Amino acid sequence: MSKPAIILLVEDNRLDMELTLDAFRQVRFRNVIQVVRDGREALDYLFGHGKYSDRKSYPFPDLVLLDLKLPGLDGHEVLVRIKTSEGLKRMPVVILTSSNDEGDLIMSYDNGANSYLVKPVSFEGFMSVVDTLGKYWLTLNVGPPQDD
Amino acid sequence: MSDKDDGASTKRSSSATHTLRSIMIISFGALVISVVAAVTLAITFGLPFLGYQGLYGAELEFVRQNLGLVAEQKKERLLQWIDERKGDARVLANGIALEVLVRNLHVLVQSNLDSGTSRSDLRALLLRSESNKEVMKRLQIFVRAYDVYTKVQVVDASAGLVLASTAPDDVGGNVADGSLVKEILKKPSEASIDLVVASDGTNPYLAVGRGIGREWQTPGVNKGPLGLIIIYVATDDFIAPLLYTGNGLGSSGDVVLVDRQLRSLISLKFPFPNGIQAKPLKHRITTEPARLAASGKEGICESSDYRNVAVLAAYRHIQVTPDYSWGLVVKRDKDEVFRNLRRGVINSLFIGCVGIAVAGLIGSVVARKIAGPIEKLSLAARQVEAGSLKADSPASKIKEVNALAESFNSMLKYLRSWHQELDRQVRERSGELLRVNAELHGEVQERKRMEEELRVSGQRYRTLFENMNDCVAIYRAVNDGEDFVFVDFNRAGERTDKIERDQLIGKSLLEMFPGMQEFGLFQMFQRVWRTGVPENHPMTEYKDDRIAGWRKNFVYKLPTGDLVAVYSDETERKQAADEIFRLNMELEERVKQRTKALDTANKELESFAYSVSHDLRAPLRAIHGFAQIIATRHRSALNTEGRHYVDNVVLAGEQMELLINDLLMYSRLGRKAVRQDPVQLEEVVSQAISHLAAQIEETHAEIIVQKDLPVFRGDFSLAMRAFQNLLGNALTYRLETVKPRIEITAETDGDFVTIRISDNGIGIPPEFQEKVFLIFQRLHNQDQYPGTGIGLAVVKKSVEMLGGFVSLTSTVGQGSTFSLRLPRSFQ
Repeated sequence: MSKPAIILLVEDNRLDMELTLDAFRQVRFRNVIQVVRDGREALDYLFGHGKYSDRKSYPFPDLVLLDLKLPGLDGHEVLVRIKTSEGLKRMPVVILTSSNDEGDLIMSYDNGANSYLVKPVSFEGFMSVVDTLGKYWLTLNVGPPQDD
Repeated sequence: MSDKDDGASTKRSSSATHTLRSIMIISFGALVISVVAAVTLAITFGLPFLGYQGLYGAELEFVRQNLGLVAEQKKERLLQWIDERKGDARVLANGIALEVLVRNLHVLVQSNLDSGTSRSDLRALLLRSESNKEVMKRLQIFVRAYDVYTKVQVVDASAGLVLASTAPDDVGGNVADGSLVKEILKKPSEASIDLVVASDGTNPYLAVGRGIGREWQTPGVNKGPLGLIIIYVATDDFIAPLLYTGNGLGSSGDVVLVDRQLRSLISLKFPFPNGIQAKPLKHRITTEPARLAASGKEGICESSDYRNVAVLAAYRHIQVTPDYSWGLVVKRDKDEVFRNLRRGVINSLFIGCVGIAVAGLIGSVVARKIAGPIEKLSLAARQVEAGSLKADSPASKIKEVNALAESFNSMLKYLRSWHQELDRQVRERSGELLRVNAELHGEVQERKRMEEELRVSGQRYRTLFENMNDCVAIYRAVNDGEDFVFVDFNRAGERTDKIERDQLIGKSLLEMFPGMQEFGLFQMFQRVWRTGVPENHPMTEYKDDRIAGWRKNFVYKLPTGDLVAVYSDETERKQAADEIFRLNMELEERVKQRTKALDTANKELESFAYSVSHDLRAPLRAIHGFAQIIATRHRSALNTEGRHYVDNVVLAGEQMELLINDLLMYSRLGRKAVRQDPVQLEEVVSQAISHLAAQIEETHAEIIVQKDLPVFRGDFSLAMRAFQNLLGNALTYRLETVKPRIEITAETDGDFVTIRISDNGIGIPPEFQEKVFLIFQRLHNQDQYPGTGIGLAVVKKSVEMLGGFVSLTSTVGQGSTFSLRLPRSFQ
């Protein structure tokens, strides 16, 4: 793998975002994390609208980490848009949320989520989640073929 | 039975009736006689319509058959015998030598007759001739050889004179039976037969004759024979024995043979009635069977014979030659035929008589046996009739009579006791009569008192009627129940219906209360008046132009036919009920609103729980996460106090996490549907243990699980939650001094499974044993034993949602036992 993996992190909470970025830094993966703060922005990024049409600055991601509780367009809606779009439906989407509500879990898998991870409260726990996630999705997993 | 009846029956029995004994003898005798007579008659004369002909008929039939057979046999034998004779004649006549010799003699006779020689000369001439001698020799040989014939003659056919004979005196004379010669000449080649009376007049002969020789028989020669041969047989010597019947037909059996002129051909067995012994051919037999036989008929008849004796006779016709015939009668006296039969009848009559005598004897003995006791019984009865009740009837050997005697005796016993009873009753009645008289007097007094009471009671009733709270109206039906008029009306009624009694009495119900039909009571009045069955009229609103109100009626019919309506004004009660109904409706509406509000609140609570799970945790994670980053990565930059506080923040975050998780779990318990599956308790326990594996290892706890745990009905995950919490508690609240030991046992108990989880932990003081199940209730601070105070609340709620109960026994310092009662599964 010559070029670093591109991860799109969809997270509205700044503190959570910082913790996540910190955790990724701590486990030292060769990756680039692009962050968007709500559902609308996430879709714009993925579909290349507006400033996101510049794929040099905003490269097409290898993995989407999606929070469910987002202002405006929520995570479930974003997931449905991704999974029903012809160009994006094979994009691996991992739900990364605080909710261990059964309803959220069921709905996410029904809508085609590839994985569902609950953020532990403890930072050590969170780091081990990020470590495992990175190892699995960015090294072991063989992703869908990419056009570019 | 009255005395009069009794007397009449006694009189009747003495004059018009026979004694029992005589009736029995007479009827028994009559029965025997008639049976014997009937049997004898039937045996003798047969039974009509049944085909049984009786002895008489059978005997007659037998005799007839026998006669017929004998007659037939005799006829056969006679014909055979005659045929033999004809054959003899033919043998003799056909000899050629005889023909030659006869021709010589014929020539001699012819020439002499032509020349007028006298008969005596001619006879001498013939006797001297050689031919005659030769013929004579042959004839004698013939007679001797056959030993049947009296004599044999050779006769000249044309002259009719005897040419030669075994009786030399005949020679030269004329033939005795000229008609026979004529017969022979008509058919010379066949035998002709006639009967010839002997010269001495006693024994007639049967004469058989035919032409001699065969020359004249040559075809084309149209002339008769020159000589004839005639052979004679004495009838009584040969035919009579032939027809002799011996004893085959009894002593009266007899055979009569007649010719066509009905002359008897043989001597008869019996003389004629006039004593003359009949001679053959001299006497005619003119009886019916003889005539019939001679005229060619055959058969059997009943007739009288030549003696004028009644006979059974079989008659046959015997065709001796084609032109000559006889009649044969075989007969037997009827008297003799039926003699045996008569003897049989007499015998049976005699046996019958003996039977009758014996039966009579037995009958009289039996009659005495039966009648004796009855007569004694009758004697005893007469004594009873005369007034003596002491005479018992003696016992008898005959069962029925004995029973009669016993019944009589027991009747007598009853009669005696009745007699005594009657005596007693008469005495008793007399006493009673006196007592009744006294009572009657008392009753008269009582009646007076009661009349007074009735008067008082009437007043009481009136007062009651007028003062009672219930309204009462009394009606009388008019026009056959078409309307009702007021008879009485009380004050309560006046008040309720706002009308005076005087205005109503005698008035029609419909006129005074026009709303009655619509009210429905009028129809009920008619019904009650018709059926007499009381009825309740439920609370209904009455309305007319004058008054309106709710009424409740009870209607019944008096024995006098009047109707009574007891009713009350229910208007106020109705209004109260309506008010209650209205209030209830309001309440219900309010409950609905509250329920709706509660639902909304529940929803809010749910979203609150969701918020707790998600929104509360995000800042918590940030607090915890950043505190941990500071506590690890930037620890060196902090002084001792700073480090301590940062550690406190991390610890608080962890507790907060536990609290949020437990609270979330508790709030979710009520939101999930509870499954009703058979759940293996063993499975639940082993999963709960595996979830707590780390804690178990850390505390070196010993967990003892009973084998063969039962199955209960419910939700696996709910049960898991309860068990995990209970086991977790048991591991947490342990004594530091002893090794934790947890025991899980279970037993089925009716429809429930009782599960016990016992530990050897710190125990719970009695005053807190109820409280520990409340949410957030803790007995220890976080430093002693960490926890959220939600665990046991979760246990209680889970178990209750499973349809069970949880209870607790505990001793401080020794341990606790939690008992769970869950519904048993029968699958």
